[in-house]
Amino acid sequence: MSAGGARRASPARAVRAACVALAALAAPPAHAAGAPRPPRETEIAYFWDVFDHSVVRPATRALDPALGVRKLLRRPREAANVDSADQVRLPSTWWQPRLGFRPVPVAQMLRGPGPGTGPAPGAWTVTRAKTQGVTPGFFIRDAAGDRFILKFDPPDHPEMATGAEAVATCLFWAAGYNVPDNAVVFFRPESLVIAGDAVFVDPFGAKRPMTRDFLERMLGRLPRRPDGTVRAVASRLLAGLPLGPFEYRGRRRDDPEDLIPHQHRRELRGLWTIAAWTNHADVRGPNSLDVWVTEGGRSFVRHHLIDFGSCLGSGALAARAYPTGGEYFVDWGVAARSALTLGLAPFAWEKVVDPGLPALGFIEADAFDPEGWRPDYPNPAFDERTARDVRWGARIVAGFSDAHIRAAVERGRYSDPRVAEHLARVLIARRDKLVRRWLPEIAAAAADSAAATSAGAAP
Amino acid sequence: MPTPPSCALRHARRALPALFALGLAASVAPERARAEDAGAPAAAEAAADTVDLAGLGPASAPPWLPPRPVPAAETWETVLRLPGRVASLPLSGAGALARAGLLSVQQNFVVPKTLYALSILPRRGVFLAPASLGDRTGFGGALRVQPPALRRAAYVEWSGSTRGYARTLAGLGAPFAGLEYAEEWRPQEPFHGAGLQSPRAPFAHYAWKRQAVRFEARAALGADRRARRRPWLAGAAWAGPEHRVLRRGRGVEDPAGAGFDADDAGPLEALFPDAAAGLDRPRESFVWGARLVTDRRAGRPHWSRGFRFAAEAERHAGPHRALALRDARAGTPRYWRFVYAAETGVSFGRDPRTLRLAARVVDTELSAGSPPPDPFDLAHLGGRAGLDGFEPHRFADLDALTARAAWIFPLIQQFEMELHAEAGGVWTDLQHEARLDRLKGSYGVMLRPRTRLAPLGEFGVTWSAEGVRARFGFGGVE
Repeated sequence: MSAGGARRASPARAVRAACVALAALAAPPAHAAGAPRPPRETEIAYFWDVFDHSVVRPATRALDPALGVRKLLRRPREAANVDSADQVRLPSTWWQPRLGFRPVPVAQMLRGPGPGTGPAPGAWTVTRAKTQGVTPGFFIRDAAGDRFILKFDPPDHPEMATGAEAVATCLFWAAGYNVPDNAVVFFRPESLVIAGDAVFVDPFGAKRPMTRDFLERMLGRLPRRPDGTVRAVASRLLAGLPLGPFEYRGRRRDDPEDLIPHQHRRELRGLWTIAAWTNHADVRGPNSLDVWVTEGGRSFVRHHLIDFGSCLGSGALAARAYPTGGEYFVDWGVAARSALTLGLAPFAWEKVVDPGLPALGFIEADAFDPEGWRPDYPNPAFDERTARDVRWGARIVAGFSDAHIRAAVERGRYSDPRVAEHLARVLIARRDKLVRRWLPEIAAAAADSAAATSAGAAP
Repeated sequence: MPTPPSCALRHARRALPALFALGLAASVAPERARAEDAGAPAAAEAAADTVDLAGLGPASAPPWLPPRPVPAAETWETVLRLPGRVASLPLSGAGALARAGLLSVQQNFVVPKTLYALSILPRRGVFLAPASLGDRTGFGGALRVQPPALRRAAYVEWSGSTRGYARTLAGLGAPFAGLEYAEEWRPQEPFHGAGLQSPRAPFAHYAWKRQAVRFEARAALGADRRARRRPWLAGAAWAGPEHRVLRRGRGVEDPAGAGFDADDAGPLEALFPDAAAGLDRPRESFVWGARLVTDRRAGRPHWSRGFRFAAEAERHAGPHRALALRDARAGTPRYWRFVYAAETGVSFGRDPRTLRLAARVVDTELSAGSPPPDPFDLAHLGGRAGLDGFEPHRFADLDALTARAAWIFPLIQQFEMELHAEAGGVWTDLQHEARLDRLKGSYGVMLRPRTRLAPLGEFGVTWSAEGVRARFGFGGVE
């Protein structure tokens, strides 16, 4: 997994962050006495995260008497940061009103958080390699001095993960979330230059100098295009000091601007709708990044969603499994139903049609459940969502026109036009399903209007 | 003329997306946005974009903050949860420890390091795997060395377990033929006596050692490695000397006093003197046989359709003077053993729900004048050999029959469940003594973790008239 580039999980990273924090503590105040200090860097234990949210928390919730009372009385706890009009109180360092709340021209959506053009042409200097994980990655510096991480596709699914990352970045930015500037790029391996101090971390955690031979071996595993170039997604490193991921529950107690438990934030509860729409089943704490930024004369924590390589039809290393979105990895409810019926009750996903497009992976709309979609494993903020949170998200999803969707899909730069066409069609159909379910008044008005138009157009 | 309803619906479907966006954005959207919603090409939009982009970027102004931190739970919720919180404090502590431990594992790259180390070994011809020494042999491991320099044609494998079971294999192999030396020590095999009516207790433990050299020739018809197509018919024939010796079971220390150990197991010679006739007497034999298998099973993650049929005949004859491993003069039980196995499965559903039926028959024919067979010569039932609701080796005799029906169905992506029922029995002469109404029954419920390609293991419970057994295993489930 990779951050918007700027996150690393090594102890060295923690040491460096600690040094930065210590330096900040020791240094005289830059602006004024009492200048805010960055919160400490956090890290999530991935294995624990899966176990906790798949086993411990579901068990706790099942035995929670307070939750039982709330369910009995039908009085769920509503989001804590909404105003009397049920809208997110602004400003927010988590979310910015964009589509659904204000017009966002297609061109601006494509520009997203940055220029969206990827690294500048010229020599790309490799500064570090990301060897952990199955697919490799490189940190580079472009001719303009900007830093990026290059991430690649799995060999059996060229264009899948990179396409998903680029398309989803566009969609999530337009939905209002803070995301890195990601773009699909093509380059010739021989054009990469290795920095003098470039290193890679070997499988035993030791840093070793990077050689041309090592670089070529890494690139040799990647799918090549007919013209010899390699396709990647270039993710611009986020500006600021990375503080590690945020969790979808609790809060950073050392951040004075983090006063609302994350599971009670409307932006995170309502994210369910956008995640369901885009099949972002990998939406979890480790795929987020807090960054300490200084802007507008003040320093503060900005919260980002990162790593969209397991979004849409992509499972990062393979296509999304058919049950994705229909059940958690460990879904006690589904398991109980299957066990009680001896497996005779069919799963909704069993009748879906796989288009057989490796660059797409697998995503579909027919079996998509606009009420019960589930990520890979339970997300605390999603578990707390209420109808009002979902409607809030649906409003954002409804803000995406066909033109927005088709333009965002074009950002995937798929070589097979069938992939873009299928993906756009699926996203449009999933959007329509969500809006019909959660904003029926808009759907009804649209239907009435269409019927009137049809009647008026009839001879 | 009114538009037909279906036509109106079609129009509505086409117009929906545009109207959703229009309805929402109409109050604030400039003309440009409306044109966009009407489906203007993105490229044209990009070219004509003159909208003021300010305000769409992330905010840097101080965010809205509540006057004080918002509690995660309301007071009444906290009070209601308090007893549970207190009661689960030890679990919370264990959770915190687990979390810290797993974070340390992550920060120190333990998993990648381990995976890397494990991936290096096979490339160098070293393979580590769980031992396959059978039921109730304890936890075990196997180390196999197959040097790449010898094109993997030669191998040595050691297996051992916590209960003292051990096996060494060494061989030279090619796809069509192989020569293998095997040495095995099994220190604690249970024996309840021969026959289906043998009592559960008391029972004996015996040990036995086996050394064998076997040459095997193999042939297959219809195989295609490139297409990964299995042969429709595969055959093998083998021959070689074998040396075996029956010993007292380890853990039974007081044979003279017929003392029983903690498992209620006693010495073989005290409980079953007839079966102990061969105790400490080496058995030297020459074994040869042949097997035919047709295997048309297919499907993932478990095989869900097709059939498999196997027939095997093996002759345990007296020793060949020139090829004897130890003592060509040692006598041995002489017999033919025929084993027939058939299984088939049908399934439905994309994630297969499979009904499997299987049957297995073992038919042993003692030669005239042969010494009585030793316990290890008999066919066994119980545990994985069949009737898994009974202890391993619970039933033993010359002949055996088992029939099995299993229903395998998916639970969730990572797990499937198997329900099965078995019936079976052992007899001295299957053809004349077997009675279907006397068969023993066994049942089981197993949970099987799986990937998209195969089950990874199984754990669950099996039961029979004699009790309930927990069962688990990793790998090799199918």
